[in-house]
This record gives sequence, C-alpha cells and structure tokens, in this order.
Amino acid sequence: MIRVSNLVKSFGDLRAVDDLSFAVGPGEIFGLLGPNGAGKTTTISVLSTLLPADAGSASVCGHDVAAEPGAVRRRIGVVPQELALYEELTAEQNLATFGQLYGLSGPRLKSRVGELLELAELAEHARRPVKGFSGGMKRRLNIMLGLVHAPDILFLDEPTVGIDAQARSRILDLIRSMNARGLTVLYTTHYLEEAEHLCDRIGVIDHGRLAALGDKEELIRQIGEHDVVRVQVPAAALAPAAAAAAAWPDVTFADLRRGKLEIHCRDGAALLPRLQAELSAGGLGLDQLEVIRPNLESLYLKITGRALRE
Amino acid sequence: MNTGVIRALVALHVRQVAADRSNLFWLFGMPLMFTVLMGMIFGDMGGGAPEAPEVTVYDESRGPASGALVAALGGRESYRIVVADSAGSWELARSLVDAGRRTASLHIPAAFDADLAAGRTAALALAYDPDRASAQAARTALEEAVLRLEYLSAGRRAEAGFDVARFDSIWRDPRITLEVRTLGRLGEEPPPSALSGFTSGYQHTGPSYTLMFVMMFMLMSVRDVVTQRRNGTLRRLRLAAASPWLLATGLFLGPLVVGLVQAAVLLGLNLLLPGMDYGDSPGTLILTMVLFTAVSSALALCVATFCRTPGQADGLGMTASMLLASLGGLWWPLEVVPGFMQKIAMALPTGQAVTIFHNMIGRGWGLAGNAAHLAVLAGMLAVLLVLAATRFRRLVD
Repeated sequence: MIRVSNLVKSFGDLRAVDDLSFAVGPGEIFGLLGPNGAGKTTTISVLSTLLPADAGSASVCGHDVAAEPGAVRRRIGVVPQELALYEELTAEQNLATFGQLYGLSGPRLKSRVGELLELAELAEHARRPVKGFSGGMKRRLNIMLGLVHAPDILFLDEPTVGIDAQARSRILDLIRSMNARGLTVLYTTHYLEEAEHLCDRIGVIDHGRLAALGDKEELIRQIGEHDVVRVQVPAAALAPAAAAAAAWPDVTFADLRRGKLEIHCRDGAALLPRLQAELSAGGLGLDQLEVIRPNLESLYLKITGRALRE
Repeated sequence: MNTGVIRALVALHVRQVAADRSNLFWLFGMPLMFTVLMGMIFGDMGGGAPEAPEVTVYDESRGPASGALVAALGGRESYRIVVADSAGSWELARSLVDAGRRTASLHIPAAFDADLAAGRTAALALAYDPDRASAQAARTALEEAVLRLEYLSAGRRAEAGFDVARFDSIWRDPRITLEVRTLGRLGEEPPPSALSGFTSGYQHTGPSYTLMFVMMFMLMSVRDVVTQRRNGTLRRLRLAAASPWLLATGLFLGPLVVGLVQAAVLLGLNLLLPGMDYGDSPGTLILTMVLFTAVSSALALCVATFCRTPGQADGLGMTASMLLASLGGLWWPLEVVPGFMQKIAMALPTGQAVTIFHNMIGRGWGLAGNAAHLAVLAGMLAVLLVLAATRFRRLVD
C-alpha cells in the first residue's frame, strides 16, 4: 500500500528525512517511532503530497506521490498532530464540511456523517459546538475528519498528544476497530507503549533515518542484548560471586556496578537458581534482586542514545 | 473548475460567521448605530429646512443673451439654478426631471445667441414637472425673462418709457420660442434627495458606513485564515480541495457572499433613514457593491498571506480598514478635505466607491457617468486577486 524508497527531504541545512526506505502492506498498522524532530511529520507530509521530496520516491496505493498527487489524496486520509477542527462549528458541521469538499452530498453525506459520529461515540454530541468538547472528544473527531471520504490508508500523526490515559486508550481502540474493517494505518508516535501495543510493525526513525524495522520480537532480537540481572549481596561476597558468575556459560558480563553485582546473560530467570545456590554454598543470601528484560526502550536507547520523550 | 469544492468552502465561511451570534452585531448592529449617530452629527437630519429644489440649465450657447436669460432666472427663493456641468447632457437634464430629482430643466441651444443676433427665431426648451410649485415658479420666471429679453433685443438697447408698438409686435410675432415639455412623476411625491442638498447627513453616512463596515468585517476575517493556517485546518482543506487555486477561490468567495448579504441588508435598512435614496440606476448600485466587496475580500486574503499570528492579523486588518476608511472619505465627505487628500482618496477603493455613491445620489449619474470609477475598481480587483492568489499559493504549497 505504501512504498518509500531512499526518500530525502531537507529544509535548508537540516536533513529532515535522510535516505528513508520502508513499505507498508494492506491492512497493516505500521508505526513510525521516534523522538520529536526525528522526521516523522515530514515523512507523512511527503507521503500525503503536501511536501515535495528532494530525492527518492514514494508511492501510495500504486500512485507516485509526486506524479499523481490527486490520485494519492483520494486514497488517503490524514490526521494531523494539531486539532485541525473548526471549533465554533458542531461536530456534524465539521464532518459535513469535509464530506462536501470530498464530493459527498445528500443522503450519502448524511449517512457517512452519522456513521462516523457513531464510530467515534460522538453521536450524542453531534450538534454541540466543538469548542465545548473534552480533549479526547476533539481527538476522536480529528481522526474522523480524516476518514470522511472512506480512504484506504489513514496517516495518523501523533494523534494522542496531550490527552489522558483513558482518552488515549479509547483512541487506540478506535484505531484497532477501523483497522479491523480493513483500513491500513501509518501511525507516528513518540510513545513507546502505543507503538508496542498497537502496531503490527514498527520503524524506529531518528535524524530522518530508519534505524530499525520489524515487529516487536524482531526488533528486540535486533538489539542483540541480554537480560540484565542486578544483585545486592553482602560486600564480602561481591568479588567471589562476580568471579563465579563470569565463568558460567551464556554470561557475557559479570562485574561490580554501583555497589551491585551486574550480570548480562541470555536468560536471567534461568540464572537465578544457580546464583542463589552459589551464594548459599558460601553461607550468604540475596539482599535484593532485579531482572531487566530488553524492551523497545532499551533498543531505542541503544540506537539513538536518547530517551524517547526528549 | 470544481464548483462543489467552491460551494463547500463558501458554505464553510457562512457557517463560521453564522455560528457566532455576536457577528450579527458586527455585521448589522454596529454599522447602523454608526450611520445614525454620524448622520445626525453631519447634517440636517430630520429637523432642518430642506434646501430649495433645483432647476438645471443646460446652456450650450454661452453668449450674452443666454447669460442674461440665466441671470434673470436666478435669485429666487422657490428654486435654485444649477448650471449643468460638462459631464451632463440635455437628455440627462430631462431624465432628472422625469425621475423627480430636478424640478425643471432648461435647454439653451448652441445657436441661441447667434439666431437672436441675426434676427432669426431662437428656440428654448423647458422640461418641467407641473405638480411642483417650484417648477411653476421657474416656468413663470422664464417666460418673464424671455419677454424681457425679446423686448430688449427688439429695441437693440434699453430705452426710457414703454413702447407699446414694440411690445405688440413681440406679442404677435415672438422671436424666442419656448417648447415646454411636461415630465415628472405626476401625482407622486418627489424623492427626498430631490429636496435636500448634495449628499449631506445620512446621504453620506448611509453608503459610506456601509462601505466601511463591509470592508472592516472582511478584514477582521483575516484572523480566521491565519488561525486556520496555524491549527492545520488550512492544510486539511488543501488536501481536500485539490489545488491551491481552488482553495484561494473558495476563501475569496466565502467572505464575498457574506459581504454582499451584509451590504444588501445595510443599504436596504438605510432607505428608512430620512433623505436617503440611491439614485435611479440599480445596475450601478449593484455593480459598485459587487466590485467593492470583491476588492475588500481580495484585499483581506492578500493581507492574510502577510500575517503569521492572529495578533498580527488583528493589527494589520484593523489598521488597513481604518486607513482606507479615513483616507477614502468614508468618515467625512471628500469635499471637505484638501485637494491632495482628494487625490489620495481616488487611489483607494474606498474613495472610488464613495464617489460613485455621491454621483448616484447627488447627480443622478448611472453607469455611463460612473464608468471611469467602476473601471478603476475593476482594475484594483484584478491586481489584488493576482497578488492574493500568487502569495496564497506560495503559502500553502
């Protein structure tokens, strides 16, 4: 549905998108995960024909975004990061306006507006001015405006920014339900948990470049890291315990860090009985234990060296 | 051209305006308040004595005999003489009587003085409205003046004493013939402007405050465009509307439609004010308002492309409307400002539009008389449209 090849877009000296390539299949929810300024919005702008690329190519539903912008726009819906709504108008009027712009009229328009209001659970508030809506309601309407012409692909650019956890959860449910009806979704976010729970595949983007690509498990495998086990033991036992652990198979690292024994291994859970047995044999016990499994955040930290919310 | 997109964009603007009820005050309430208040300050509203009705003299002869005739007609209390200017014509002078805007019109042909000097019969033509006392007075005065002129010209010089034979000869064989044509709205009340002075009071404030508030409301809508640009709705419209030209056309036509409704309501309500009418050329009135409103809408779109924040839009929009209104003669008649200020006014759409209104109301001029001003407004519209569309395209592309 979406094919991006070696895409480049610069603003002056800033290379916002740098040799970016990826593809999104039909019915997929594809996440572009990256910090602010990583190039996510620029990528969506190019794919939605609002910005021309400097180099490379991109196609949506088989239409080249540079050569056939009209055909691309008919197949896509775009939900911008901002609340791009007419606040003084009602929810119904907002939807009707964009429906008319996309050529809907009469009973078709009315039915489509009603359907979207139901989908967004806004039917009861259809005739209220949007300015009186909560943040979550506005966000849901913002998404519906991108769907008014029944596109094949929906671009969602950080659609949950600035709303509470409950409202976010409703929006993610909404996206899942739309996806279940066959909608392909390109979803940008800087929230790890959203990407992790919503997306079928994730592309991690930083400085305009694609740093990693795959589903969650693939990405974690790509990280090449092991579980991290941190153990608080009596001071006298630290050095012998570290030496013993370093000799075990599958342990890639065992040493003292910040007064604790830190062990890197393939399977932290399997290591624990052995460690406990070793300490017991020396008449010692465990004071504190922490096992850290690799996750997307550790992957991202490894790739970019930055926390995602920076 | 995708008319569906344009209709949707126009409907969007109308919905936006209608959604905020306070707009009703800015569109209609405030202008009417200003019109009445300033009309009372400017003139003669509802209490002052009307000026004498006008008799137009269209003197093509411009010789001593015609001059003496015009002089003899003057100095009366029941009417006042207005010598038609070079832009006029005998047909226009007659049409003004027919429309009830002049009490009578006198035509002195170009050969009048020459015919009298050569001893030939000289002709005069009078068009008058017999229902009006001032017209009767003018006719009587004219007949007296003609008789006196004949008497004097028959004797070549004024002599002491009355020459009965000469008078008898003039009576039997007059050398000046007077063709009288009855015109006017028989049995109808003349329009108020036919009895009042040249665009005073409400006649000035009615049209000029209509023009000012139409333009001001449109320039206030600059904020809407800037807000749409900032909150992403303009980008959303761009995605849906397909081309920047189409989008620009919709953003131009939306305010134009609202402005025309505002103008129609205000001009209609103004007719309830004392002394108010817009002349006899509805075509000129409509064309003027369409052109002026279109110029204002194109200007607003153009200004919007220069603003980055709603604050800038408010400041620039308000400054532009205040300057255009004051310099263009919407706050006071242009007749009271120095010559160079009048020239500045003619370079502005406000000055052109208010001059057309003055010509319609005070002179009864229609399309032909106002053609030059209408052409200037059309030219301004073309320039502003090109500028607005070009800048807008750069903004959204």
